[in-house]
Amino acid sequence: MQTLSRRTLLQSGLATAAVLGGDIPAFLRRALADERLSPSIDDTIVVAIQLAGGNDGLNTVVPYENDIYQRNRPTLALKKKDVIPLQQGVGIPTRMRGIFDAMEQGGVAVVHAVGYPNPNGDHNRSMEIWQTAEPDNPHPETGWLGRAADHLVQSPTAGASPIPAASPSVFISEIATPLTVMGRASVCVKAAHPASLTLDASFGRPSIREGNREGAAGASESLVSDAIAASLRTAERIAEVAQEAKSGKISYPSTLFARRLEWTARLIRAELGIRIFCTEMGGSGPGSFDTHSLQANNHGELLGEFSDALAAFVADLARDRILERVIVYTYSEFGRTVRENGRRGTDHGSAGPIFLAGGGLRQNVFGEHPDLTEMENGGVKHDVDFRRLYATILERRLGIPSLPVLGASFEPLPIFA
Amino acid sequence: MTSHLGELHDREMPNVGTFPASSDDWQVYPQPLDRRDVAHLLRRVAANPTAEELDGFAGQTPDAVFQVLAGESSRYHEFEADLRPLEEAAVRSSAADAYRTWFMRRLVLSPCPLREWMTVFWLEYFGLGIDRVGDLALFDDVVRSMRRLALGDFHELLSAVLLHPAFLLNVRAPANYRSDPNERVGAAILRTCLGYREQDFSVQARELARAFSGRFINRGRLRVSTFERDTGEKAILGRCKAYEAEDIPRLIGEDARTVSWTVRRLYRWFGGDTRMPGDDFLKPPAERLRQTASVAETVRMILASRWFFSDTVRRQKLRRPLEFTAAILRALKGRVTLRTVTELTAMGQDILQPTTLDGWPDAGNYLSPPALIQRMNLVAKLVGADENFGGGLARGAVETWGDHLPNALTDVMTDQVIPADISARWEELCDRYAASSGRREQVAASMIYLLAVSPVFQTA
Repeated sequence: MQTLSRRTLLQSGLATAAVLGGDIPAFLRRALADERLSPSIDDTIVVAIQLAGGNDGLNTVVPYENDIYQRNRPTLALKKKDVIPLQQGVGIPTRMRGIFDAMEQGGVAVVHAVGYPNPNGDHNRSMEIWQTAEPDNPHPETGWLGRAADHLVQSPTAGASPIPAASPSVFISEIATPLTVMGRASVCVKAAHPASLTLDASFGRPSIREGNREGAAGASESLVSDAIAASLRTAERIAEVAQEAKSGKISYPSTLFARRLEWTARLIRAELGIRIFCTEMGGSGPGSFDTHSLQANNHGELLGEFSDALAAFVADLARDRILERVIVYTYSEFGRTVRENGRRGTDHGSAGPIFLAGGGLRQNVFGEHPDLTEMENGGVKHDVDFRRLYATILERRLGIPSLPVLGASFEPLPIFA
Repeated sequence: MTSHLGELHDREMPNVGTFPASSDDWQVYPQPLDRRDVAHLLRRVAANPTAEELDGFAGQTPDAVFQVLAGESSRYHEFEADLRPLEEAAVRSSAADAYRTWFMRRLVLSPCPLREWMTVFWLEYFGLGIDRVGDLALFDDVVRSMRRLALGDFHELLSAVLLHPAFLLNVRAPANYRSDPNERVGAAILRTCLGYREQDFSVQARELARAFSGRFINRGRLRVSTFERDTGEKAILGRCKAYEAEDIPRLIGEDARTVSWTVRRLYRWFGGDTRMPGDDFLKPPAERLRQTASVAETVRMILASRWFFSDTVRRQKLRRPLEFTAAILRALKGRVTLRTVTELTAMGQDILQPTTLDGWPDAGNYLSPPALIQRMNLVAKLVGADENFGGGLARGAVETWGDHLPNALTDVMTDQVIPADISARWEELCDRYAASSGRREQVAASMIYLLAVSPVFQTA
């Protein structure tokens, strides 16, 4: 489904009721009523979720009837009773019930065997390749979403002001901002929790909003004056949404990752013009998905935490149709080996499944589960180059040409209706 | 080098056709500096003036002030003797965050602020990042060289940096074989020193890289392998000779494009990044750099010029998080803490890691609404009592200035003009301050906060 942008609606002056009947999404209500929202800001949003460590794809989307899988994983292989079937012989762990339910409702999908040619087994390098989409550049400086953010702040529609009307991207976690969202021209703000963007209560709002702009000494101060006014409105809007959140329509789990997604949802709902969000689960360094030993319980818990949080996030955004203009994708540096090691864990592999969440997904499973007789680096071979997914998100969701961002053309994936 | 880099660069440092310029612009500013001039100068070279600098420099000529700012007084040596052991301890324990904190302390407290801030300029110029180098000892070593030569001979500075092991690590070129010249070395030099933004400069980059063949970084030390050196002729910047790495800094430094690009970077640093003049306007300082190779002479020409003190320049520069935070701390003699420096990173500016080889993004990009909210919150933390952020900024101001605090704050933070947009609130706070006989810190904190978050303090 092609999403209508707020700008398109505002400019065309369409009778909203005629288009949408009585059921007007909250963001459109506000957009049509509120001049504060910049009409130059489009609506679609991408949320990147980094799963650090190398998620074991085979125990995430499980070929439970596959003999090779069962034989190679004597202690780790999940049985039929441990999974919820998705396709013939393929399912997801029962602990991921939340995601399964969301898939049933069309809000979440899985893409099989996503990776890249000549996969690298080093955590840092492979993560860097996923973050930058530049596998041939040994010295990448910017991430693919950072370059997309550069496009947003540098495009003609961004206006002539050197100060962007909105922050193009926000990173939500305590760890160092990943390369994914580092741009050359744009700045990604790190806002780990709501307090990061809540104006300090002890000083309150300075009384400059109603100030006399005539008094500004020069062009730069005048620009800053506008920016400060916008930031005060932003703070107010975030506070309003926080109040709405207290009504508790959607309950998030009490995990750290869930809190990050809840905060992300709040910022999306606040309509601040932020187009790119990035958050993470697994931390920095090797990351907690790096399950070399005693994998079974650890990995199951991680997937459960991930599933519960993502399901709540999807339900939250779906309740007033915000999900329709959001695309979430997950990435991890690699999958893991088909064969379990001697420590009841798995080692660095190659490709793996990724999850998508959002509106307009054509189906809930894309592609076929990888053939376990064809291995690469001990893991499954990739069937889908992740840059095809990125190109699809850029072209079909963010409305940004993919060639300048990815440095090459990639055939989009038919994931959107 | 991927093909998209050039496209994303084409808006950087734009030429502004209508930039006002006259033949007098580079003449020396003809009069002694008044307090407003001093405030303007110090805002550009050191983030903000201190009260002592305002008092001490008023009435002096620009040249005289420059000599003091650029010189190494006995106070500077004492400061260095105090701070250097702390930096060395951080280096020995690979404590990058502690090193960041001491670096920030230099920017706030150094008696030679121009040297310290010019070190930041060169850090950005070469795109040297603490994480990219990955070896704190090497990073510290190259930073010390940059600090020593920050206002020295340009060619010597280029040698100190381009031939330093940290430079090769910064561009991920620790091994340079004759059979496989590492183009990243050449590309980095062309981008950082000459401002190349063409789509494809790989031929030139390869020739430059050949000169660096045989240079390997092993356990933090430079090893030169004679066997791996490419001794053949290389065609570099229109000249052809059997150049080796040691020849490159001079070759680069003498190139007209390097001189022009470097002066544009200096202009941008001191003049702001929202308006850029054409090369014609910048010819006089470029000629000065070409003839003298003296960074100090070139910077002095810029800072002592009529242009620099004209209304075209005053109050037009947007402050990035580093300048903004240092401005508050310099104005009010605040303590530099680890948490304060960490907040800068959250706002998108790691002070020891220019985002890319091209430096940090333009200042305006640090002023989006979320980034400004973070600024406002940082100010609240700095003026509050939280020891993690130094504590006592307001208390210190009250102790220092007592009854004179409103005037002193106006003087040091706003150039003696209270902006119209906050004047009513300011008057109210002044009245409250005058009426409060006992604990005045709270009112003082509100006053500092009001000035620091106002537009006048986001610009320099």
